[in-house]
Amino acid sequence: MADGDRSGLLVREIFLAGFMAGLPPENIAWATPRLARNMVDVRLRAGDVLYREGDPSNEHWFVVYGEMKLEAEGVPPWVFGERSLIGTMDLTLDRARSRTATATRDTHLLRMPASDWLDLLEDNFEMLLRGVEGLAEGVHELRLALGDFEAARGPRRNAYTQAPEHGRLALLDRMFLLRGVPLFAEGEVQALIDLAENAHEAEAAAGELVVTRGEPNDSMIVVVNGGVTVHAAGARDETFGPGMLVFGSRAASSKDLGCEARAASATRTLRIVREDYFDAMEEHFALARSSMKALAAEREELVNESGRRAAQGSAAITAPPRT
Amino acid sequence: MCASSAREDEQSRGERRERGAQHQDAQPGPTLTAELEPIGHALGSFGRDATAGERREAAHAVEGGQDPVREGEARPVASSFLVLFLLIGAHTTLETARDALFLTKLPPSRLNLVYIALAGLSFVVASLSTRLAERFGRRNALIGTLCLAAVATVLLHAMTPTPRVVMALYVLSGLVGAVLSPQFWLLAAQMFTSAQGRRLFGPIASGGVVGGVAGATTAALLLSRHPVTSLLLVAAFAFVATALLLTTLTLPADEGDPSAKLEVAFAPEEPAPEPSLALEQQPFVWRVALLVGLSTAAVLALDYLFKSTAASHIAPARLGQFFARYYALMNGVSLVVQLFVAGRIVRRVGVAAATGVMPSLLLLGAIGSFVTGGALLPVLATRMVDGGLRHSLNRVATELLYLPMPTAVRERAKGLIDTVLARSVQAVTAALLFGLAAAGVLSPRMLAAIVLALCASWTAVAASLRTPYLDVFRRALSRGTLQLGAKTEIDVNAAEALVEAMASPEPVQVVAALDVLAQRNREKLIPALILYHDSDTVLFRALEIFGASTRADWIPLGERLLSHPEESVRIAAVRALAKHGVASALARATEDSSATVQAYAVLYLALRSEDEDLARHPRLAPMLTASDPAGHAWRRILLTAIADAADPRAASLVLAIAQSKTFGTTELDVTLLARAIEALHDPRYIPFCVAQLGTRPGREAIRQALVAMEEPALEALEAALLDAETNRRVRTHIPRTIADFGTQRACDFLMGRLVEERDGFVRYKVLRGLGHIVASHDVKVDRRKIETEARRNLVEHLRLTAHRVAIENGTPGSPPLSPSEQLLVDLLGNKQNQSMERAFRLLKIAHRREDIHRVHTAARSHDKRARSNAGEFLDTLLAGRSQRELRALFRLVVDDLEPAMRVRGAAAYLGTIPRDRREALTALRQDRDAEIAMLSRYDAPLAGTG
Repeated sequence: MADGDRSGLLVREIFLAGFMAGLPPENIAWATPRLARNMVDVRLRAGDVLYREGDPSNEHWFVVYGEMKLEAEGVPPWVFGERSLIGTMDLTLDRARSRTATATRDTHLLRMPASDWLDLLEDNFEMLLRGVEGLAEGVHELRLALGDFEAARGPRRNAYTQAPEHGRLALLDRMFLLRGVPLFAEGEVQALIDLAENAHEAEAAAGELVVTRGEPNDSMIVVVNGGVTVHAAGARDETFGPGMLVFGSRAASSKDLGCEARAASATRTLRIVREDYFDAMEEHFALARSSMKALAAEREELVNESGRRAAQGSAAITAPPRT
Repeated sequence: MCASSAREDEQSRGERRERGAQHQDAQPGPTLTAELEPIGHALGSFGRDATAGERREAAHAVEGGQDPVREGEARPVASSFLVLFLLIGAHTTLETARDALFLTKLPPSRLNLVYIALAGLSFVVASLSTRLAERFGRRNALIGTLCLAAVATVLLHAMTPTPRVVMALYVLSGLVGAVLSPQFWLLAAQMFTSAQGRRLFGPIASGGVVGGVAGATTAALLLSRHPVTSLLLVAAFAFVATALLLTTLTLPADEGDPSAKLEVAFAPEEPAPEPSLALEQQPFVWRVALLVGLSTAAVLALDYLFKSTAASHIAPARLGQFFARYYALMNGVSLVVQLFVAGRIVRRVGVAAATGVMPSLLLLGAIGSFVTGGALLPVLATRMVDGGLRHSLNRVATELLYLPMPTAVRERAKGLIDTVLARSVQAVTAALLFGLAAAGVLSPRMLAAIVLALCASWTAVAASLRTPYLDVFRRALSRGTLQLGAKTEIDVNAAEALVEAMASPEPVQVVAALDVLAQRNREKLIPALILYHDSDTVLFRALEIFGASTRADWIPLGERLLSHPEESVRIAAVRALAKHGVASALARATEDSSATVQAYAVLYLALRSEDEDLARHPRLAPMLTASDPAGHAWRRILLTAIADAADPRAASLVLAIAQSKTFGTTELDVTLLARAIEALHDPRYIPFCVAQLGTRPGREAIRQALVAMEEPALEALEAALLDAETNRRVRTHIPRTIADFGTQRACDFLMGRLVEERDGFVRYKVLRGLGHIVASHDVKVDRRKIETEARRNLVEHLRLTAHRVAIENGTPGSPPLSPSEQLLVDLLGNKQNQSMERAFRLLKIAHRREDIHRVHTAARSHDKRARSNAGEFLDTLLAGRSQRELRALFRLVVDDLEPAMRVRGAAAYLGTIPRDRREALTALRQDRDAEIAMLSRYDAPLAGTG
């Protein structure tokens, strides 16, 4: 290895170690050399375009220094500064570039192949889990910050709402029900079987507490019949109907969301112990990808809304560095 | 929904899960056979072991023995065949005229002058050929060359065959041969992938062989009635016909911009760093150049031996007839070899080894010629080997060597090697022979000795090709030179980068630099003055690193931090100093304003005291039992102190905390507990730790604690994995924990479980654990066992493919798939991917130095060329005789085949194949995989749902 390569590698490792600050040192030690080895330095001058809307999404970039602006028609621009990661939203959502990325000043980036990132997550479940939970918590915080915002499409409807009114749900009904939940929608069938088999059915009378604020948040709840209303301080009440996951994609987080939920009417739910969900994710990486995709989609919607609101005062918002 | 079936599902959930998991991937042979027997009729002969004959047949079919030409390939193959047929036919006709005229008009010794002239001119011609291709594209360049050859041949025909004209004819023939053939094969390389080349180059090359036979036969027939010069017109006519035919050839879309092509063979979807195109950085190109150089010299010397022997034994008047007949016979042999032998040899021994067949046989012939002093018969036989194999087996094998090269490298390398190098070697060899002849020492025996030496060297180079051939793929795969696990040395530039990072105003950058140094065990490079840093985060991390090191120069600065305003920094300082035995620091900390700092110091000192029973220590006892939040914090700090002080007397304290219901199960709590256990190294904790593996928080720390307890812990883990009563969640995490031990014993145990474990998911975890241990530790695995498992998974993949195809295809008029059937198809698809992934993981274990993951990625790619290269890599990697079946299975799974065709190819491995949806569903309802069986039974009741 040439001297230049060696020092370049080291600089990348230092950068990555800084970027991952907050992870346990052993995770950092494990991940940084793996990521750094295939990174490529990219230097842009102000005004240079990194990628254009419609380009294929095969990699993402760490911004070492400088600034990048991501723009598209009809949505507020996103601006990313030093120690941020760009391009990952499109990758997670498995789509072509939705914005054009332009350097607003001289910028140094590190290009990383998407497959390296996915391989890393697949090989290290602890990091994957932190990523999914972090994303879920970020979505929750954005929702709280936006207060009365309801996403344009409203709570996502589940295409499968034909669960029988009475009697236990058959395994296949459970699978169809779960397949309609965005968090699980693109998980493998085997993952759905695992989740469906381990889920528990529960009933609640109208007004009965389904989730108590401050209690361990150890279950994910899918509404079978009826509805569940979530109350959070400072935010508008949200009601989740048949086929929907209470709290939406935020339910992926095991953190106490500081909310309570009550049955809006006589309600039947399917409860998935979160540990079972994590186990299924560990066993089936596709479930993790499905979860990340659902969370990324929701996050994008929220960040855009946040940008729209900020646009009233300024041209762009600075998106949280890690998407 | 059928309620009764739902109840059955609920009741049998656990049982089904176990059974399902058992069969999530392929089962060991004996178990499989036993489980199949009760459901014999329904499953037919599925899963039975194919007979050796069937497997050979299957392998043959997979490798292109049957249906070598697939849908969509017939036209380009037929066109290529015809082009080569005409091209070689024309050239053979020209050669016959050339040889007859030359040896009639000039002595054989003049051949050397011609060779030298050819060499000089080939530089010019090769350069022109390359420019022509760059300017007009490969096909148009070939058309242009053919037209020029036709015009020049007609012009020569119009001249009186004086010695000079004959010399010119020889040179023209040589140049045409030198340029046309490489141009054609470069065009073919552009049209086909390496996997296609393996199947199709044989049939295409047979066009050349048939053309050779046709050309020689035509020449022989014409010569019985017409003068030799008439052959020139025939050759010119054939050149023109070839050019016309080429105009109808359809080429890939990128033909128009040949300079723009640069393949990144294994990463079509990722812009990888561009491979170097400098030929001097391509070791494989060098090896091929050496191979071609030696082969050129050898066949030239042999040709000289052959012609001089013929000239000395046969009357000049009969030479024309002799050459025509001999070449016709030779081409007939070549045709037989091409049609019946070449393909089999390439399939059986692989591309790299196939290049060694011809030189080995020539070597034997050369020995015979040498021993007999250049007698006619052995010389003719040796030349027959040359003629029989050069344009068939050797041509195909050599052309296949070029295919994995990046396009730009191949274009340049082939132009230089086949034209310039080959002609230069011819010139040098000819000059050498000329010199020896002039010196009067070039006896037939001497010539035979030269041929012998050259063939021996050629054989040796061919034998050494496999490794660099694999390297071509490896380079495309590696995309970087860093070997994980190898420590990156810190040079001046790297040191500068580190110093810069440590001087950063951003604490995160500084901590990152500290971490990078600690990872490399270069803590000594961290200046003690870092403890003057403003950031608490930096101080905390630096103290952690210093505390764990053997350095002492930081201690005075560390003591200064005992009065730092931030509690976490003071605790870090006390801990670091305590680890280095600075008693004064501990004494000072007992008077700290923070109760937590005090607690740590007191506990640490107590652990260092002479008291026998720590549980009754006046300061410790209340901490163990206090139930308020402060008590919880004390227990945490107690565990921290125990981890730092590591006194065996603390074992009872840790046990008490571990069993206490008041102690939490958070990540931090379990991690602190695990670290204390790790420090104490007491086997009494082993059962607790094993059971704790089933819980996610702190699992990694628990693993480290178990590894620290060495053999007794390993024994306990082995026993727990073998015990079917062990909680399944615990069992699934045992293999990885065992892998962390990194010993040969751990590896051997996992190897055994890989074959014998009945729970499919646990077996998958065993596989992952084995992958981890093999990648991180110097352990040995039984490669044959691993490859047997890979084979089972590939067969399972094909079995699932067969059912999926049958369900998806249905029968004419059958209804669309019901939702449950669609779920079943998806499930089959998931399991197909799993079995393929497992096969590749197993291959990675068997071949740890190879980046099999990239090969797997390429095998799943949508890019045809990437998949083709993956297949070629696997073919070369699995070149052993015992790996033939595995090689064929991988080829079948990776190859670019329609699923139905893949299933047909797998017939010998699968036995009965379901013909339609009904048969597939009937079979799957009794499938050994419980999940598949369960979904297969749902179709009727659920029709129309959703």
